[in-house]
Amino acid sequence: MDGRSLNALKIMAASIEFNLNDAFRLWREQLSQSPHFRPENLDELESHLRDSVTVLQSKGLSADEAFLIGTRRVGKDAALEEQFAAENGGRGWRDTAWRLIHRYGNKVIHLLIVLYFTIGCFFVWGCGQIARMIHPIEPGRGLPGFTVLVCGLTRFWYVLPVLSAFYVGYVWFRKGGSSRSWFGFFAATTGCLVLLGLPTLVALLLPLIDFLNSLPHWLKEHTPPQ
Amino acid sequence: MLSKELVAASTVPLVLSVLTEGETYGYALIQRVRELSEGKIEWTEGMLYPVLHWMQKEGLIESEWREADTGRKRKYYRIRKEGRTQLKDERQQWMAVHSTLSKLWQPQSSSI
Repeated sequence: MDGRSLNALKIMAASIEFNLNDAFRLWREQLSQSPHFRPENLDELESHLRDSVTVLQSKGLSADEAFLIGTRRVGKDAALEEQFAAENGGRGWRDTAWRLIHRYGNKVIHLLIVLYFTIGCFFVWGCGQIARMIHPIEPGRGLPGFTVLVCGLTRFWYVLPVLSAFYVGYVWFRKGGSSRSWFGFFAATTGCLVLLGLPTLVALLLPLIDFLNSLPHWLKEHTPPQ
Repeated sequence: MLSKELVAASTVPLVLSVLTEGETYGYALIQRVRELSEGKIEWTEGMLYPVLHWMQKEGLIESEWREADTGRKRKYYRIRKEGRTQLKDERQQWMAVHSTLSKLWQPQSSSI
Protein backbone atom coordinates (compact mmCIF):
# COMPACT_ATOMS: atom_id res chain seq x y z
CA MET A 1 0.00 0.00 0.00
CA ASP A 2 1.52 3.35 -1.03
CA GLY A 3 1.72 6.41 1.21
CA ARG A 4 -1.25 8.18 -0.39
CA SER A 5 -3.61 5.22 0.13
CA LEU A 6 -2.46 4.92 3.70
CA ASN A 7 -3.12 8.62 4.23
CA ALA A 8 -6.59 8.32 2.67
CA LEU A 9 -7.37 5.41 5.00
CA LYS A 10 -6.13 7.44 7.97
CA ILE A 11 -8.34 10.38 6.94
CA MET A 12 -11.33 8.04 6.54
CA ALA A 13 -10.66 6.48 9.93
CA ALA A 14 -10.38 9.93 11.49
CA SER A 15 -13.62 10.95 9.80
CA ILE A 16 -15.43 7.88 11.17
CA GLU A 17 -14.02 8.58 14.64
CA PHE A 18 -15.15 12.18 14.38
CA ASN A 19 -18.66 11.16 13.32
CA LEU A 20 -18.90 8.68 16.17
CA ASN A 21 -17.83 11.31 18.67
CA ASP A 22 -20.36 13.67 17.15
CA ALA A 23 -23.04 11.00 17.51
CA PHE A 24 -22.10 10.48 21.19
CA ARG A 25 -22.25 14.23 21.75
CA LEU A 26 -25.68 14.56 20.12
CA TRP A 27 -27.04 11.55 22.02
CA ARG A 28 -25.80 13.03 25.27
CA GLU A 29 -27.18 16.48 24.45
CA GLN A 30 -30.57 14.93 23.76
CA LEU A 31 -30.60 13.19 27.14
CA SER A 32 -29.36 16.29 28.94
CA GLN A 33 -32.54 18.13 27.88
CA SER A 34 -34.31 16.15 30.56
CA PRO A 35 -34.05 17.43 34.16
CA HIS A 36 -34.05 13.84 35.43
CA PHE A 37 -30.47 13.09 34.38
CA ARG A 38 -27.64 14.42 36.47
CA PRO A 39 -24.30 15.07 34.71
CA GLU A 40 -22.83 12.08 36.55
CA ASN A 41 -25.66 9.84 35.26
CA LEU A 42 -24.90 11.00 31.73
CA ASP A 43 -21.16 10.35 32.21
CA GLU A 44 -21.91 6.81 33.32
CA LEU A 45 -24.39 6.10 30.52
CA GLU A 46 -21.98 7.51 27.94
CA SER A 47 -19.16 5.39 29.33
CA HIS A 48 -21.45 2.35 29.08
CA LEU A 49 -22.45 3.17 25.52
CA ARG A 50 -18.81 3.64 24.52
CA ASP A 51 -17.95 0.21 25.99
CA SER A 52 -20.87 -1.34 24.15
CA VAL A 53 -19.92 0.31 20.83
CA THR A 54 -16.26 -0.73 21.20
CA VAL A 55 -17.26 -4.38 21.73
CA LEU A 56 -19.68 -4.29 18.78
CA GLN A 57 -17.00 -2.73 16.54
CA SER A 58 -14.53 -5.43 17.59
CA LYS A 59 -17.09 -7.96 16.29
CA GLY A 60 -16.85 -6.36 12.85
CA LEU A 61 -19.70 -3.85 12.88
CA SER A 62 -19.19 -0.40 11.38
CA ALA A 63 -19.20 2.65 13.62
CA ASP A 64 -22.74 3.62 12.55
CA GLU A 65 -24.13 0.11 13.09
CA ALA A 66 -22.40 -0.28 16.44
CA PHE A 67 -23.73 3.07 17.61
CA LEU A 68 -27.27 2.27 16.47
CA ILE A 69 -27.32 -1.10 18.24
CA GLY A 70 -25.56 0.30 21.32
CA THR A 71 -28.12 3.08 21.77
CA ARG A 72 -30.98 0.61 21.28
CA ARG A 73 -29.53 -1.61 23.99
CA VAL A 74 -29.15 1.31 26.37
CA GLY A 75 -32.84 1.96 25.85
CA LYS A 76 -35.25 4.55 24.56
CA ASP A 77 -34.83 8.06 25.98
CA ALA A 78 -38.31 8.04 27.55
CA ALA A 79 -37.78 4.70 29.30
CA LEU A 80 -34.36 5.77 30.59
CA GLU A 81 -35.80 9.07 31.75
CA GLU A 82 -38.56 7.26 33.64
CA GLN A 83 -36.06 5.07 35.49
CA PHE A 84 -33.75 7.92 36.37
CA ALA A 85 -36.69 10.14 37.32
CA ALA A 86 -37.67 7.52 39.88
CA GLU A 87 -34.10 7.57 41.20
CA ASN A 88 -33.59 11.31 41.19
CA GLY A 89 -37.19 12.16 41.96
CA GLY A 90 -37.16 12.99 45.63
CA ARG A 91 -33.76 14.46 46.27
CA GLY A 92 -34.62 17.74 47.85
CA TRP A 93 -35.48 21.25 46.90
CA ARG A 94 -32.93 21.65 44.11
CA ASP A 95 -34.51 18.90 41.99
CA THR A 96 -37.97 20.23 42.69
CA ALA A 97 -36.83 23.74 41.77
CA TRP A 98 -35.19 22.48 38.58
CA ARG A 99 -38.34 20.60 37.56
CA LEU A 100 -40.51 23.64 38.26
CA ILE A 101 -38.15 25.85 36.23
CA HIS A 102 -38.22 23.34 33.41
CA ARG A 103 -42.02 23.20 33.50
CA TYR A 104 -42.99 26.79 34.22
CA GLY A 105 -39.81 28.81 33.50
CA ASN A 106 -40.83 29.87 30.01
CA LYS A 107 -44.30 30.89 31.16
CA VAL A 108 -43.05 32.85 34.18
CA ILE A 109 -40.53 34.69 32.03
CA HIS A 110 -43.40 35.66 29.69
CA LEU A 111 -45.28 37.09 32.67
CA LEU A 112 -42.24 39.08 33.76
CA ILE A 113 -41.81 40.41 30.23
CA VAL A 114 -45.42 41.58 30.03
CA LEU A 115 -44.90 43.31 33.39
CA TYR A 116 -41.75 44.99 32.10
CA PHE A 117 -43.55 45.99 28.90
CA THR A 118 -46.49 47.46 30.81
CA ILE A 119 -44.20 49.47 33.08
CA GLY A 120 -42.22 50.61 30.03
CA CYS A 121 -45.38 51.73 28.20
CA PHE A 122 -46.57 53.54 31.32
CA PHE A 123 -43.22 55.32 31.58
CA VAL A 124 -43.36 56.38 27.91
CA TRP A 125 -46.97 57.54 28.37
CA GLY A 126 -45.79 59.58 31.39
CA CYS A 127 -43.12 61.24 29.22
CA GLY A 128 -45.90 62.17 26.78
CA GLN A 129 -47.87 63.76 29.62
CA ILE A 130 -44.82 65.79 30.71
CA ALA A 131 -44.48 67.08 27.13
CA ARG A 132 -48.10 68.15 27.25
CA MET A 133 -47.53 70.02 30.54
CA ILE A 134 -44.77 72.22 29.17
CA HIS A 135 -46.39 75.52 28.29
CA PRO A 136 -44.63 77.94 26.00
CA ILE A 137 -43.76 81.14 27.81
CA GLU A 138 -44.40 83.31 24.78
CA PRO A 139 -48.08 84.22 24.68
CA GLY A 140 -50.05 82.90 21.73
CA ARG A 141 -47.46 80.25 20.88
CA GLY A 142 -48.77 76.68 21.15
CA LEU A 143 -46.96 73.36 21.51
CA PRO A 144 -45.08 72.07 18.44
CA GLY A 145 -47.36 70.13 16.07
CA PHE A 146 -45.39 66.88 16.47
CA THR A 147 -45.75 67.05 20.26
CA VAL A 148 -49.49 67.61 19.97
CA LEU A 149 -49.76 64.66 17.60
CA VAL A 150 -47.76 62.28 19.83
CA CYS A 151 -49.59 63.45 22.99
CA GLY A 152 -52.88 62.81 21.22
CA LEU A 153 -51.84 59.27 20.40
CA THR A 154 -50.55 58.31 23.86
CA ARG A 155 -54.12 57.59 25.02
CA PHE A 156 -54.13 54.50 22.77
CA TRP A 157 -50.93 53.05 24.14
CA TYR A 158 -52.66 50.87 26.70
CA VAL A 159 -53.68 48.68 23.73
CA LEU A 160 -50.19 47.19 23.37
CA PRO A 161 -49.81 45.91 26.97
CA VAL A 162 -53.34 44.48 26.74
CA LEU A 163 -52.45 42.65 23.52
CA SER A 164 -49.23 41.34 25.06
CA ALA A 165 -51.21 40.16 28.11
CA PHE A 166 -53.53 38.23 25.78
CA TYR A 167 -50.52 36.64 24.13
CA VAL A 168 -49.13 35.61 27.55
CA GLY A 169 -52.53 34.12 28.38
CA TYR A 170 -52.23 32.08 25.21
CA VAL A 171 -48.71 30.95 26.18
CA TRP A 172 -49.89 29.92 29.67
CA PHE A 173 -52.98 28.01 28.70
CA ARG A 174 -52.54 26.86 25.12
CA LYS A 175 -48.90 26.57 24.17
CA GLY A 176 -46.61 23.75 25.27
CA GLY A 177 -44.51 24.71 28.27
CA SER A 178 -41.33 23.22 26.90
CA SER A 179 -40.89 25.64 24.00
CA ARG A 180 -38.49 28.47 24.76
CA SER A 181 -40.31 31.36 23.07
CA TRP A 182 -39.66 34.10 25.61
CA PHE A 183 -36.65 35.52 23.80
CA GLY A 184 -38.70 36.42 20.72
CA PHE A 185 -41.37 37.98 22.92
CA PHE A 186 -38.74 40.00 24.79
CA ALA A 187 -37.24 41.23 21.48
CA ALA A 188 -40.69 42.18 20.16
CA THR A 189 -41.73 44.10 23.30
CA THR A 190 -38.37 45.88 23.52
CA GLY A 191 -38.69 46.82 19.84
CA CYS A 192 -42.17 48.25 20.53
CA LEU A 193 -40.83 50.25 23.47
CA VAL A 194 -38.07 51.72 21.31
CA LEU A 195 -40.60 52.57 18.57
CA LEU A 196 -42.85 54.30 21.10
CA GLY A 197 -40.07 55.83 23.15
CA LEU A 198 -38.16 57.57 20.35
CA PRO A 199 -41.05 59.76 19.04
CA THR A 200 -42.09 60.47 22.62
CA LEU A 201 -38.58 61.63 23.44
CA VAL A 202 -38.62 63.93 20.41
CA ALA A 203 -42.11 65.16 21.41
CA LEU A 204 -40.73 65.94 24.88
CA LEU A 205 -37.56 67.63 23.62
CA LEU A 206 -39.24 69.92 21.06
CA PRO A 207 -41.20 72.07 23.59
CA LEU A 208 -38.20 72.00 25.92
CA ILE A 209 -35.94 73.38 23.18
CA ASP A 210 -38.61 75.95 22.33
CA PHE A 211 -38.81 76.93 25.95
CA LEU A 212 -35.03 77.30 26.30
CA ASN A 213 -34.79 79.26 23.05
CA SER A 214 -37.42 81.78 24.09
CA LEU A 215 -36.09 82.11 27.64
CA PRO A 216 -33.42 84.86 26.92
CA HIS A 217 -35.96 86.89 24.95
CA TRP A 218 -38.52 86.55 27.72
CA LEU A 219 -35.94 87.52 30.37
CA LYS A 220 -34.92 90.57 28.35
CA GLU A 221 -38.53 91.71 28.12
CA HIS A 222 -39.32 91.11 31.75
CA THR A 223 -36.16 92.50 33.32
CA PRO A 224 -36.80 96.00 34.66
CA PRO A 225 -34.60 98.68 33.01
CA GLN A 226 -31.79 99.94 35.19
CA MET B 1 -36.55 -15.34 29.69
CA LEU B 2 -37.44 -14.60 33.31
CA SER B 3 -40.43 -12.51 34.26
CA LYS B 4 -39.92 -8.80 34.93
CA GLU B 5 -40.85 -9.21 38.58
CA LEU B 6 -38.37 -12.02 39.17
CA VAL B 7 -35.61 -10.10 37.38
CA ALA B 8 -36.32 -7.06 39.57
CA ALA B 9 -36.37 -9.13 42.77
CA SER B 10 -33.11 -10.89 41.97
CA THR B 11 -31.16 -7.79 40.93
CA VAL B 12 -29.72 -6.88 44.34
CA PRO B 13 -28.46 -10.39 45.26
CA LEU B 14 -27.07 -10.84 41.76
CA VAL B 15 -25.22 -7.52 41.81
CA LEU B 16 -23.84 -8.23 45.27
CA SER B 17 -22.80 -11.74 44.24
CA VAL B 18 -21.01 -10.54 41.10
CA LEU B 19 -19.24 -7.87 43.13
CA THR B 20 -17.91 -10.50 45.55
CA GLU B 21 -15.84 -11.72 42.56
CA GLY B 22 -14.16 -8.30 42.52
CA GLU B 23 -14.85 -4.70 41.60
CA THR B 24 -16.40 -4.07 38.23
CA TYR B 25 -18.28 -1.48 36.13
CA GLY B 26 -21.85 -1.40 34.82
CA TYR B 27 -21.24 -2.76 31.33
CA ALA B 28 -19.14 -5.68 32.61
CA LEU B 29 -21.76 -6.43 35.28
CA ILE B 30 -24.48 -6.79 32.66
CA GLN B 31 -22.25 -8.99 30.51
CA ARG B 32 -21.30 -11.20 33.44
CA VAL B 33 -24.92 -11.80 34.45
CA ARG B 34 -25.90 -12.45 30.83
CA GLU B 35 -23.06 -14.97 30.56
CA LEU B 36 -23.87 -16.72 33.87
CA SER B 37 -27.59 -16.93 33.11
CA GLU B 38 -26.89 -18.04 29.52
CA GLY B 39 -28.87 -15.09 28.24
CA LYS B 40 -31.93 -15.77 30.40
CA ILE B 41 -31.44 -12.64 32.49
CA GLU B 42 -31.26 -9.50 30.37
CA TRP B 43 -30.76 -6.34 32.35
CA THR B 44 -31.40 -3.00 30.77
CA GLU B 45 -29.08 -0.13 31.52
CA GLY B 46 -32.02 2.04 32.45
CA MET B 47 -32.86 -0.43 35.18
CA LEU B 48 -29.38 -1.32 36.39
CA TYR B 49 -27.86 2.10 37.02
CA PRO B 50 -30.67 3.46 39.22
CA VAL B 51 -30.45 0.19 41.23
CA LEU B 52 -26.68 0.55 41.58
CA HIS B 53 -27.13 4.16 42.71
CA TRP B 54 -29.80 3.12 45.19
CA MET B 55 -27.54 0.36 46.57
CA GLN B 56 -24.76 2.89 46.93
CA LYS B 57 -27.07 5.24 48.79
CA GLU B 58 -27.99 2.37 51.10
CA GLY B 59 -24.31 1.80 51.79
CA LEU B 60 -24.20 -1.71 50.29
CA ILE B 61 -21.67 -0.84 47.62
CA GLU B 62 -19.30 2.01 46.83
CA SER B 63 -18.06 3.47 43.59
CA GLU B 64 -15.10 5.31 42.19
CA TRP B 65 -14.38 6.96 38.83
CA ARG B 66 -11.08 5.61 37.51
CA GLU B 67 -9.21 5.62 34.27
CA ALA B 68 -9.33 2.23 32.54
CA ASP B 69 -6.55 0.69 30.43
CA THR B 70 -8.21 2.16 27.34
CA GLY B 71 -7.67 5.66 28.76
CA ARG B 72 -11.39 6.26 29.23
CA LYS B 73 -12.91 6.93 32.61
CA ARG B 74 -15.21 4.33 34.08
CA LYS B 75 -17.17 4.11 37.29
CA TYR B 76 -16.11 1.03 39.22
CA TYR B 77 -18.33 -0.49 41.89
CA ARG B 78 -17.21 -2.64 44.81
CA ILE B 79 -19.05 -4.34 47.63
CA ARG B 80 -18.90 -2.97 51.17
CA LYS B 81 -19.07 -4.81 54.48
CA GLU B 82 -22.76 -3.91 54.77
CA GLY B 83 -23.27 -5.38 51.31
CA ARG B 84 -21.71 -8.68 52.35
CA THR B 85 -24.03 -8.83 55.37
CA GLN B 86 -27.00 -8.09 53.13
CA LEU B 87 -25.88 -10.77 50.69
CA LYS B 88 -25.72 -13.30 53.51
CA ASP B 89 -29.35 -12.51 54.41
CA GLU B 90 -30.43 -12.59 50.78
CA ARG B 91 -28.69 -15.89 50.27
CA GLN B 92 -30.53 -17.45 53.20
CA GLN B 93 -33.87 -16.19 51.86
CA TRP B 94 -33.26 -17.35 48.30
CA MET B 95 -32.00 -20.73 49.54
CA ALA B 96 -35.16 -21.08 51.62
CA VAL B 97 -37.30 -20.42 48.53
CA HIS B 98 -35.14 -22.77 46.46
CA SER B 99 -35.28 -25.53 49.05
CA THR B 100 -39.06 -25.21 49.46
CA LEU B 101 -39.70 -25.29 45.75
CA SER B 102 -37.30 -28.20 45.31
CA LYS B 103 -39.16 -30.22 47.93
CA LEU B 104 -42.50 -29.37 46.36
CA TRP B 105 -41.44 -30.16 42.85
CA GLN B 106 -39.40 -33.29 43.61
CA PRO B 107 -42.33 -35.69 44.16
CA GLN B 108 -44.29 -34.00 41.35
CA SER B 109 -41.52 -34.52 38.82
CA SER B 110 -40.99 -38.11 39.99
CA SER B 111 -44.73 -38.77 39.79
CA ILE B 112 -44.74 -37.45 36.21
